[in-house]
Amino acid sequence: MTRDLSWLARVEKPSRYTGGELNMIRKDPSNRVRFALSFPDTYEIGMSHMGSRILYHILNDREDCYCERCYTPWPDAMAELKHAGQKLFSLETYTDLDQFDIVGFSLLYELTYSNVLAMLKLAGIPLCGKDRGEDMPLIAAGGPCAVNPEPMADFIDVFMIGDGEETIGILVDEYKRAKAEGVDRKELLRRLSRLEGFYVPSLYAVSYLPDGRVERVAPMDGAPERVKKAIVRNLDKAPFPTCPLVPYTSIIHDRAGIELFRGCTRGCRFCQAGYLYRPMRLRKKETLLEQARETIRTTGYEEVSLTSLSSGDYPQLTELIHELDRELRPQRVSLSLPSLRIDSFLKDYAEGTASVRKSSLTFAPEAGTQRLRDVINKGVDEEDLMSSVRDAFSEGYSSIKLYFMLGLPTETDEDLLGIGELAKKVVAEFYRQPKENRPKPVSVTVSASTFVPKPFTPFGWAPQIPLEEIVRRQKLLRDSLVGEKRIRVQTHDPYTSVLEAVFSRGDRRLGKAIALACERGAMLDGWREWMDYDRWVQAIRDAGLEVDFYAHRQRELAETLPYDHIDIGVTKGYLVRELHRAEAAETTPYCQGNCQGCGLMKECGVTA
Amino acid sequence: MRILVQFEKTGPARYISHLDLLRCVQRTLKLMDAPMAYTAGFNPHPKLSFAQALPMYMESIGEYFVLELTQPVDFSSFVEDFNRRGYAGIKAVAAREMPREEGNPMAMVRAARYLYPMAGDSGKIRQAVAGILGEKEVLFDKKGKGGIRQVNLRERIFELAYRDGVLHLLLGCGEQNLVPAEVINRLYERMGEETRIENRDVLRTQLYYYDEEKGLVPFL
Repeated sequence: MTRDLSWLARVEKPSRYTGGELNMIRKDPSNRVRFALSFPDTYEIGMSHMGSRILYHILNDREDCYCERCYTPWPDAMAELKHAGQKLFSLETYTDLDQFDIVGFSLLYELTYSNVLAMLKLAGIPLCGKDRGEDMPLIAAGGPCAVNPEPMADFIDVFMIGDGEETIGILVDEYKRAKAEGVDRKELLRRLSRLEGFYVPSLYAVSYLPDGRVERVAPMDGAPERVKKAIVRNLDKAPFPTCPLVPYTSIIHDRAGIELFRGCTRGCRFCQAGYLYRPMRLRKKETLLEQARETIRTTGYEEVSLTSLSSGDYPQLTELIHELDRELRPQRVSLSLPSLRIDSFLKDYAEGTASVRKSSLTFAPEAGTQRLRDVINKGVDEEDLMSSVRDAFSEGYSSIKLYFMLGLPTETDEDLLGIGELAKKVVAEFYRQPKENRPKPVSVTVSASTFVPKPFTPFGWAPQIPLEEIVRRQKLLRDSLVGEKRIRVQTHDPYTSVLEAVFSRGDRRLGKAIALACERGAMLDGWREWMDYDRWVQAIRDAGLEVDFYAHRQRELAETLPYDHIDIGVTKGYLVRELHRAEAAETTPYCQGNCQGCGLMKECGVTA
Repeated sequence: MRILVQFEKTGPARYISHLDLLRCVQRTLKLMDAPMAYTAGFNPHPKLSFAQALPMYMESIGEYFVLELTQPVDFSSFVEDFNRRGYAGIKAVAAREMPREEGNPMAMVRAARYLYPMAGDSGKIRQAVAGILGEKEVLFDKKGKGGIRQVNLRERIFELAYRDGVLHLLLGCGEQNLVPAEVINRLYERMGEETRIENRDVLRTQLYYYDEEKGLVPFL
């Protein structure tokens, strides 16, 4: 399609909107299912998302489908589009988004919900599913936030729960079949609702108790009581893009990402990913080597990144690193391992390798005292941290970042002050090093995010601490480190954290608030310069709802949660058991070889 | 062996910065497995340098980079490989050997050729062109330390001609720079037209160095 793009010269970072990147797929769109893989955030963020890369290539590997991409334009480009009378368009063929058969959104973060609506609006697609006719694209959504689909239920026709590798193909198959048989949108959705991993919100009626809690979620028209998440059983054989798109301009993760494994068996009680992506599924070392080799061959990237939730848990990590090092070093390609636990410092794996990059090191003790670390089941102690830090300093690192969470259940001021104490001990450890190991002064960054309770975790019933309390605790933490020249404190915007808490466990009624906020201009809420907390609070209030009810309320174990009809495999009973252990500050061991009965025993291979 | 490569920066690539261009060319060279020579030191990088950065968002079919290689290559297959493996809009046009003695293109650039399709009454355009060429002094605003001052840049206009609806410009480039939009807007001014353009509306077609005997010579 030809399109007047003269406005590109007037916007920031125009290459966000041109497409044409290396390895971009070009096809004739006619007689193919046209899929717009839409990412509700900027190009730089969306292009870095591994899940989208995987889906882009799975869809385009099919002869009968052409998958194109679309990202949220920055407001300068939104204004130019409107001014030029143009609709939001795909980067591959510059086709208006409303011309696609299916528009699929990746929901990675609650504060991108407003971007989904902003994109639909820019495309001239009616926001609510019930207002969309047969001529409009089917609107689908997946990703980690889809496990609580309710706040977005009004806007999305079908959610895909769990791993997308297989369900995305089924979606296209069913779409094609419905088209060929001439059945309408309603029937297509009805068919999808009966398949594993698909949730059609319009086929569920939600009733509420007088106090606003969910009374019951009733399936209609033969939709199942509970929607099971889709699981890719054999990750090693699952498709992986070894010819990914390489952008012109730099993006957030500008490197070849290789996924070691999916899932994590550590069971940190605050971590939603740790429960959502169970069971743990590995890729074979040989498969990973081949994927790394092939990706470098097709992209020209200078860096390979080994990703997972906890890379130290990969059984053959040492061998893998050494073999990769042997292959990549002559090609001047370096290696990075972003997600290592405190108790698995790089040195143990990477000794004798030269291509492993030394950037600054990040450790995540998460809490300031051992008591609280036991409550959250972090499974590391102070000595683990100190020995890792010691190793790092002796290896020549001088910059350390420590991740903590503020406002965890049961947290006291003592726990908070423990964060400062820990940071000071890290600095002291540096000065215990011989002088020749200290070429530069030490720098310790304490990054404290605010705890957001998430669905499908043992802390999913817990209240988030109130806004004023977040502010007070952030101040307490800062004050405890005043005068510490070597320690920097970073905290997150408290308003953002509260909104995350509202939406992460929110119900369907929030759809009205989202629509109102978007009508009043909400978008790019993940970006500080665009987020307007007061606008959101007003919209929530105008929808007849309250922030406190969603973010700061203690849920009862017996109450029906808005997402109880979604089945991620991990049982509620297990989560409650974990909650009780947390209350008793009891830890739960690493579950590999030590099954805790989380509900996925069959998928895990513990029981047949 | 050091080679000089002429390339174009068009289409989607026109919107990328010089730094992004450098990275894209580097990746393409890596993809085609070019025998690149690297600098020594803690952070080795390919011995690759560009002749002259383009004004923002301008398209060009006459850009250059020089690349040090560890072994000789066949120029036509180099160009072919580069275009097969590389990015849309960053295409090699031709290559030749450029021994070190020939100098550093970055420092050698003296002039650049531009094309601009100019709409309007051809008689009036020709008249404006002749007017500028007939002047001994054409003053342009120059931003300096002491604010804006007027300088005579007539000597930086080497060629200015209007043929078949297209304006051909050969202007100083590099240290003695004159950007095409300034000249073209001066023409519009002389014609009494309101139109004003930006550099991005102009196409660059070639870069030149200066030779004592031959005068301005295109790099390739």
